[in-house]
Amino acid sequence: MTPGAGLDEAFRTVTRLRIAAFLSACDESDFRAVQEYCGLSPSLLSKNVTFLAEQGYAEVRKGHVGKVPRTWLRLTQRGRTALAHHLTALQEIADAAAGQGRALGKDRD
Amino acid sequence: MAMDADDARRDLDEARISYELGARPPLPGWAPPACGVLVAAAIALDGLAPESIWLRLAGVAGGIVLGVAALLLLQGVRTQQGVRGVRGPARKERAGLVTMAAFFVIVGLGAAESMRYIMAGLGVVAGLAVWVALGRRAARR
Repeated sequence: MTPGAGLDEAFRTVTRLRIAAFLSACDESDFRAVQEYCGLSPSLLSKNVTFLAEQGYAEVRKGHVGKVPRTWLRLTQRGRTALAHHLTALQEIADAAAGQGRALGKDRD
Repeated sequence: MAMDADDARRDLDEARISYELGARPPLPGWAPPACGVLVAAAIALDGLAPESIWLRLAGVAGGIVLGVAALLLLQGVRTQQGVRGVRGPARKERAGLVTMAAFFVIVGLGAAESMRYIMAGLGVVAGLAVWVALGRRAARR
């Protein structure tokens, strides 16, 4: 299989990759926490989470803490699997390039 | 969908940093010393090893309570920051901590009185290590 064959279009933008990787570390996270730690504006986060939710990779849950409305985000099992495959594919690309670099070095020697 | 190695490495770094932030969000400045002191006190109390079996059990139980308090403190800060539950490699680290705690409980139960000062010293070293390690997370704020 060619390196990078498992890349997922949903994680090709750095923003969506950041959101998914952040959410992969927890069961669920407050919208504002994701926004703060991923350094995103509310609208950009909302747009990207909607995209991930449409793919079945993320879920949005609305609730209240006391009287304060809160939005919780979580990565679905499907999203976790897709992210794991995407990261594996990225690692394959990086490893393949490193392998080629070593081979070229040996040829020069 | 082509991607070169530099882009792949950059994306891997982004994913790693974001995962780290989700698993171990930056801490407020008071948390590292508080956890360090709790861990140091937990190990010292655990290794107090008095002659009386009841006092010894109480010391070990007190050590467990202080250790759990340190963990709950970190978990509470994370929950307050809006992040719930731990997934991935960070969860395995917790399993390692539980194993280490079990080790100290067993050592505490069987410790000789002469080991008291060694355990206190070990507690201070462990507490400082926790303080420094968590301090790095606090510095990321």
